[in-house]
Amino acid sequence: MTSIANLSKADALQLERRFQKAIHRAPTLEAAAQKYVEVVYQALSDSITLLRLFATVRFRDLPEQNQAFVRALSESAGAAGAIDEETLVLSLLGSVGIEPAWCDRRQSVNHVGVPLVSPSFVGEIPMIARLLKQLGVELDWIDRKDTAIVGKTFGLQSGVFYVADATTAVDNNNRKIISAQEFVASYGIKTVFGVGGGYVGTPVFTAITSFCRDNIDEAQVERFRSHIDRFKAETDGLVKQGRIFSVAAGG
Amino acid sequence: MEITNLDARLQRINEMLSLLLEGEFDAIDEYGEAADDPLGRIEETVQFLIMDTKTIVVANRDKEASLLLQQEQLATKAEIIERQAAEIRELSTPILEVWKDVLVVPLIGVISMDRSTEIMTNLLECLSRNKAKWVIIDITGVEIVDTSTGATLIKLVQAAALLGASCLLSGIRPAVARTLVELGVDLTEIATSRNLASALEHCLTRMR
Repeated sequence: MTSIANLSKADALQLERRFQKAIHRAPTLEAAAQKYVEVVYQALSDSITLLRLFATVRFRDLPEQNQAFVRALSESAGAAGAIDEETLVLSLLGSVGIEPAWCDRRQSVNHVGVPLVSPSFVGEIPMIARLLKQLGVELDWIDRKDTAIVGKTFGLQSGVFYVADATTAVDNNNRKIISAQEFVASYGIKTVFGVGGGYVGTPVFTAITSFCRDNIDEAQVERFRSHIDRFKAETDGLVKQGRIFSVAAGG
Repeated sequence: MEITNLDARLQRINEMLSLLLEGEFDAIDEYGEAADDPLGRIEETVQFLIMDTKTIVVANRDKEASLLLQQEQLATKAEIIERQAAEIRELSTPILEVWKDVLVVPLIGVISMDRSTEIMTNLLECLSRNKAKWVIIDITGVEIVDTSTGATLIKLVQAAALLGASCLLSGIRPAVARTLVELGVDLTEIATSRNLASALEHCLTRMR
């Protein structure tokens, strides 16, 4: 175990190879995601409090439990009518952290899936809005309901999401980017960062988010960009074959 | 230190390197744990080589695909822009048959070299088709003129005359008139009218 700040270049490379080996031949994207977060968390748990991996998945491809969550979330936000089979949902695929409940994505209370139904809906969730924006995912396609365009353009996107200080960072509307300030205070969260990238020719965009107890430089965060390349290298085939969840869509 | 299963392991390394060279990464099954012996270090290095190469190959393939997509998108945008430009050119150089044997060419905006060629082509095509006897070139909508605009007007008149049509220039604003004079553009050979209505009246009178 080590902290991100103390991670040498050689350690970083070794970690990348370790997780890549671990996710090689994973049966689904979900299994690979869970394995990824577990390996990385095990190595960097001196810094990381919560590590998660999300991916955009069409509503129709979600397991029934996720569909129900997304419907309920949309209804509570008055956006139930905006969801259709093609709606992309930023879905939690892998999760691990210091609390046992965080080590099973199915136990997530708030982040099972965020439907990308409109820029304004996403804008209501400052962290997701910032995450997508900084990762290079523009949201103007949502209103056009054109997932074909998304499939073409997501693969072009990749980037780094970085919030130096979760306690103070605010968006343009002066809202805390990490809105769960109770969580931030309780667990001493300082830097939050993420990396993301799309699978060319598909609507799948994957994002890794890390909530850390350390202050981490943006330069150190940049090193995590290659995690996405390695993760994609091992899971590209799964995405193209539609092997996303361990439970069948709607099941 | 004794190396166990030497032949089988060397064979396995050989197979993995062959798959690497062929880019058949998906054919590589479990990497397995490297044994704790000198060959194990080599096996592990080969595994790393494969993983690193695979990552680079897939990332490069993605970049190539992304570039192709971007090229496609740019080509589509260029097509749209070209089509719109053609439509705008067409809309900006209309030729109207306002009366039997009378054509009006209303000019609006800046008369660039491209536009003047377009106007000339359209006018000549229209004249050869309609056999019109009068052409009114209305420049009410032209705010800026230069020597090139002046030259375009003269050429239009000359070209129309070659096809047997007489030209009238109408709608010359005071500022435009002043600029043409200052630039020394000689329009004395071209009949002018205050506005489009009087130009049309002139044509109709002459045709009776």
